[in-house]
Amino acid sequence: MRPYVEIEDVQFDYGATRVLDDVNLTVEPGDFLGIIGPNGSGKTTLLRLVLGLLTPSRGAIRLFGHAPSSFRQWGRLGYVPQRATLDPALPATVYEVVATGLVSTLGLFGRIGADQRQRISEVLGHVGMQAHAAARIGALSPGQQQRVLIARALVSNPELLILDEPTGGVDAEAQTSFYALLRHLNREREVTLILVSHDIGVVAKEVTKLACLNRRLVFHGRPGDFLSDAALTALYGPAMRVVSHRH
Amino acid sequence: MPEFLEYGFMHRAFAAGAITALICPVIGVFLVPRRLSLIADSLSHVALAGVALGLLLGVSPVLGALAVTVGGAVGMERLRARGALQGDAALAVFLSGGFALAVVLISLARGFNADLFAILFGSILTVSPTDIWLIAGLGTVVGVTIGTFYRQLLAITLNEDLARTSGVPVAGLNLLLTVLTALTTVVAMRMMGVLLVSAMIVIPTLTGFGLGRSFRHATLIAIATALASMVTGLIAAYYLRLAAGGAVVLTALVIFALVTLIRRTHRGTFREARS
Repeated sequence: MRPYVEIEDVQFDYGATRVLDDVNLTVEPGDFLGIIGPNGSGKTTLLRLVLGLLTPSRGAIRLFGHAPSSFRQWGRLGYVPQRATLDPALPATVYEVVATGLVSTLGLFGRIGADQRQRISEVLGHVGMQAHAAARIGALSPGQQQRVLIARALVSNPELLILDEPTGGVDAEAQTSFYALLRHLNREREVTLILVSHDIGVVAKEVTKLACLNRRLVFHGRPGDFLSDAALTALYGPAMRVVSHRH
Repeated sequence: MPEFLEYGFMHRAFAAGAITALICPVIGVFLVPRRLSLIADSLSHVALAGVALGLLLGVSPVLGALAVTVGGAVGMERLRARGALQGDAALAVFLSGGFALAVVLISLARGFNADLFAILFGSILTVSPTDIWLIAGLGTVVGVTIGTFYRQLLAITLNEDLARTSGVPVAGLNLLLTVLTALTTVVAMRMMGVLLVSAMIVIPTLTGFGLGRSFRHATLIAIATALASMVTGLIAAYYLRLAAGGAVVLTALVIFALVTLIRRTHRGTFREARS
């Protein structure tokens, strides 16, 4: 089976600043890939490239075998952005937010059919937010807003779920149940996951594959190999030591 | 029957006013949360140039405004999308550019000063029977188009990146929304006056957002307050010989102020909702 995501020799520059250099990475069906790295290491940029929100300066990206610019099967993919992206003053309800995840499948005038209504309450059930369907998103706690964004991403029944720093501003208890939900999705429902975070400890414990990014990919493999590997130094230590370790 | 309903011009004023009150908030709910309220203001200044051009060439000022404003809307969105001008810079350029062109055309024409006052501040007397058909046609186009793309536009309003990754053609719909804003400006211009069109797009929307339990509910409240402001304002304009646009906007502001006040005194249920 073809990898869901293929990243080949990708380089990305913001003006004169090189943000990503020589990145090669594939995501196979069933993977739970964690991408970690310090702030400014290019993690979010890499996600935005995969999602087609940015175009690489060099190299190629394929999403389910297609270039993101010509990709049309958006229902196969769910994206959970950082929580801060929702405007709390907007009067949209949980239901309305989740329904926007179905937008490409809706009928004339955006009518939501019985099947879709059923699907929305089903995913709200998965994330434990069914009781809050009519609440304004701005009225929810950070952890609850995060669950709504996950429900929104899941509503189209995606095979691949991409999450960007999803636990920022979420309390410890909500984090625990959040990772339990991800584990369930990955193991029971065979959803492939890409999770970007700067929280090494938690991520390394949960994922099946780990990629450490600091402009370049400094480690790519099983999380168990990571903590003993020189990559940790490469990631957070001075760049000179990376070179001396590798040669 | 009240006296003001005995006149044909008042019938036309109410018809034009009702269409204006229906479509202004429907555009506003998608512009205001994205901090794009100024688009309407910019386009109404461009519309003024169109009106002046229409009067100068002796064609209908509404048609002149329509052609120039839609052209301006497309140009503005192109500049913004290509990143040639950042954010509100494009809006500011079109606002001042449109106004400057209007002033030059008006001084070239000399002699439509009476019309000018009505155009700037709105009038209940100037809606011709032809205007009504044009306004009704444009209003229908705006209403039906927004209805068709309601969910997509809501998705973009929530978050453009999320909308894009759900398969929403964001750039195309942004252009469409700007062109619909141009049409709305032309529709609203007659009753509201060019300088007050954007107030009708923004103020009822804010009232709706304050009270709405959902986005749809907020939109309906915005339409209802716009209609109430329009009817009250037009009647006041008739009896007190006021500029229609000013009377309508002041009514809308009073409603907004009352709603804000009531919300504050009601134990901040909404403050909780916003925190």
